[in-house]
Amino acid sequence: MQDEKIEEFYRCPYCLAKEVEIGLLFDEKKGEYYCTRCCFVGTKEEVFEGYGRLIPHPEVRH
Amino acid sequence: MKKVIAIIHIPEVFEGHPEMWETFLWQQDCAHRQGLKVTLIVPYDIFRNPSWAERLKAYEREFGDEIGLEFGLNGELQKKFGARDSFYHLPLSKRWEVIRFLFEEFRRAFGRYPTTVASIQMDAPTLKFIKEEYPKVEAAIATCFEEGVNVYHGCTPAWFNFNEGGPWWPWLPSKYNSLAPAANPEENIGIVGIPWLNRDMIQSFDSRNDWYSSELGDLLRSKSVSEGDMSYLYNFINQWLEQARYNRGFSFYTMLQESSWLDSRKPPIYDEPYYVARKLYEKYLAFLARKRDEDPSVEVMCLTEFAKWFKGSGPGRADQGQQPYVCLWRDIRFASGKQYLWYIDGNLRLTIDMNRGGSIVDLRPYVAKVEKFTGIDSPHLYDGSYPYVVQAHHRNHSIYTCWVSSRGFRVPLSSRRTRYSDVSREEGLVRVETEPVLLDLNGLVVRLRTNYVIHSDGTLMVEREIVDSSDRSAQITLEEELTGCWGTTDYPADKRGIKLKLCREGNQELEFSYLGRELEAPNVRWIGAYIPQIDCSLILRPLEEPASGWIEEGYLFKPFFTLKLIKTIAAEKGNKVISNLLLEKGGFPDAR
Repeated sequence: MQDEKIEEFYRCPYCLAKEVEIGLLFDEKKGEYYCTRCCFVGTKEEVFEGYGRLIPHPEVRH
Repeated sequence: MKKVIAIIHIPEVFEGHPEMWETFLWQQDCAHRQGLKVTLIVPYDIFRNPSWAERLKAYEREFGDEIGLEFGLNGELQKKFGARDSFYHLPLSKRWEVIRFLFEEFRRAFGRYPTTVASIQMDAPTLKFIKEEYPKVEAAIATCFEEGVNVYHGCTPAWFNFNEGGPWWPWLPSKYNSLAPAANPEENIGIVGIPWLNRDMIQSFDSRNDWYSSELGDLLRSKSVSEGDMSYLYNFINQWLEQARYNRGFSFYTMLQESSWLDSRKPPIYDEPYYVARKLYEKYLAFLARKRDEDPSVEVMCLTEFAKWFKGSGPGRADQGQQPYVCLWRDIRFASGKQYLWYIDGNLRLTIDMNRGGSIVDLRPYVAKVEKFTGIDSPHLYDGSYPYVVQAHHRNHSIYTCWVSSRGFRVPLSSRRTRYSDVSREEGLVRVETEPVLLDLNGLVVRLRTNYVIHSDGTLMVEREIVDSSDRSAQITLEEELTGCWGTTDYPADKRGIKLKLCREGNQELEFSYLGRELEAPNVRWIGAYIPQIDCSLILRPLEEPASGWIEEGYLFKPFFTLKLIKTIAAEKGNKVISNLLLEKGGFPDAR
């Protein structure tokens, strides 16, 4: 555990798609998140777009 | 300057489908139209057909192609030898029978023995047997770089063939372990090892090596190329040829393609039809021909011709053992900016991840001379991988990095990104410099640069240098930390018996028993771990000035050992902490 204050913690959406949980690191200079396990790089919005593609939520048909 | 391109075709004709021969002829025409000569790796069921063998001989005569031998077992051979397994998993005595039979059949077909042989994997006993029985053999396609855990997790059928921890380029396989390059002429088998394919040196580590290679079929499977976009492949070729910059003018690119991938009868394991693959294959070869035409240092070679040159050349130097190679790879698949720096020689292989502040994420101690072979009479069965002592992906916590602290704030360099800034070479060493990492330690802003000097005797010198600081009077503590383990997969191997030591006046030592014990002492000469399972010692030593040492044995839920050197210095420009990491065979230096 590092001593930095953790305000936001997101998991890599690429790794999550493979059911692997890897916490993203944040590059303050570039303002982007990146994964240490794979090659994912993206903004917070792109992280959430990735999450959105993971599990579709189709409308329930009756 | 010599940038070598080797083109390899394997004619594949499924039993009962002789018409597939036509696809191989199409593939050959494709290469020859571009003026490219080809190494033909031919299985038994092809060259036993007299008219096909004649055609192959004509390729040798007319186009300068080379005919080599592939050690595949078709149905007939499986029946003859009572073996259903892959060649490289057969018991050794059975393997010798198969080799002798195929060499004689090859001679019957072509009037000579082959000088190039191929199998996805060949261990040291196999290569030694071949060289002793058939001394004219020069080249062996003998490994699939980094095939192992990642492939096994990802592919649909079981794929029990592990050969991680080896070379990515041509090498001199050693007598004790074919994946480890020979450190000296005595260890050298005398055959030049060639990897099955070139690989993407980030994706083959992070992901599946079989998806990201110089084989077109692999790139179609991973959706890395398509009919409308071949840019990944072109960047891949360019990046490989550019490696000459870091390797004294030498680079190597091999492209192997089985003809069945271009045939309509191959069960499609990618989503495009075969005619798309054919179209892309034509483009692929045209691009390689263009590289040859545009760059006078590019030479297309067959494998025997290449192996003879390599053994006598700078990079091979069979009279001195394996010379160091470096591969600096930037991500071209996802354009993430990520870089890996790979280094290999006869004593070690390591991988530095620039996304993790220039930390070492994989370390293989060839210096330990771990003997291994594969097959049903080997204790290792399918697992031919050379053991790691650091592996950040398979074993997550395992990494070699540096923690930095000041003003109550502590951060690992592995949580910051950097990029390489220079790779230079001198006789016997490679120096890797990285760009400084910016750290804000509760208002103390420091830029810290990491440099590695890798000596070809299995020694690393690690420099942490303060490039800039907002407060020169501040104190900053650096903890040089190796979190180690050993194994070949993502499961922990037994660590009982590993010895950890703080070497100073009044030595302190722990024997790994999963009790989570820690020891700390000031002014250590060195700290170390001895792993008896692979007879390998790791020694971390402060250079120039003494440091505090810290060792931890770990426990079952977190089974790693940790070695740490701790040093506090003034946060002043130019101040450095220099440490040595030594890999050695055998126990601790003063205990032998």
